[in-house]
Amino acid sequence: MSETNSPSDWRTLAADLFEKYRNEVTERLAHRNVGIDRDDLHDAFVTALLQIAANPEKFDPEQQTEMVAFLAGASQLALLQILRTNRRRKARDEKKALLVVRDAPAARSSIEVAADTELAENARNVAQSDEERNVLRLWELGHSDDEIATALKLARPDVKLLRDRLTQRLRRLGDEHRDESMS
Amino acid sequence: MTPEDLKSLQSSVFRISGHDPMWLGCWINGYLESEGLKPQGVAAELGITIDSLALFCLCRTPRPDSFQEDLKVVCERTGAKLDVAARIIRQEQAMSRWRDVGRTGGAGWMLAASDADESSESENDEEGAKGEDQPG
Repeated sequence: MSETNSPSDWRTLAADLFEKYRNEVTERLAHRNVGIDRDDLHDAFVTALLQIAANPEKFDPEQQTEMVAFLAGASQLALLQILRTNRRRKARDEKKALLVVRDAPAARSSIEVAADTELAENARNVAQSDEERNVLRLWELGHSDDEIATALKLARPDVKLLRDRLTQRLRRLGDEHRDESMS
Repeated sequence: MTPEDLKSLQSSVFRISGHDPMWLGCWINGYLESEGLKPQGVAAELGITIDSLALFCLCRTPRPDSFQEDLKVVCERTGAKLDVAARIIRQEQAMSRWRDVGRTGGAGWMLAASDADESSESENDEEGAKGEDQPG
């Protein structure tokens, strides 16, 4: 499918493309998107890579496009999507923060307060190790990944990995809580 | 690429491939979570470097009907131990099925049990009874 010397097996295609093009594509992305967070650039590259490897027929060698240019283009599109999602999330968080400030505690029923307390208690239990508990605590206080990494003497990607793991568990917990409320 | 860049890129691989069961990263991510391990720990278990673990995560999940054959291709490509990889994936796939059943409620198990072929069960009983009758 590409200018690789030997045709890639579909089972290892993403790994082959990753190994061969990671330097060139991430450099192109960084060059084209100065000032953008490195983790977002890498997320975009991996997202595009997996999309292409899942549907390799989308790459058409007849178009005379080099695989590296194709991957860089797909990564750029994925990056725009990531940046859009980040912007939306930030706006949503800001809106939520405003609502929290406006919400007077007295206006809430005791049932709502109890349910929230139970959910918050369960949420705290999603952290299964001391490292996760520390990250969750600092995260709850509104610290950024960089600040958490510095405070806990961890690498930033590790903090992101832990935070992602906690987010997944919290999301699962939220789904369960919603299911319980509806039943 | 600096070591920090490489680490960030590997993190992206673990994180993004971890969301989709199409990729082996999904099962590795589940294993990290259920065993409370770090990627380095799983890499050591598989007998590979962290860089090869990233490659492993980017490989396709083996098809159920050709599990060994697919996994063998992946292990030859990444250098991972076939038996360890098979154990981890099987374990996490079983855990995932278990969680799905938990989410839909216990009724699924009851239905599955009641769907069992009664004739095969009675055959087994008969075989068991024959076995018991045999001396020795």
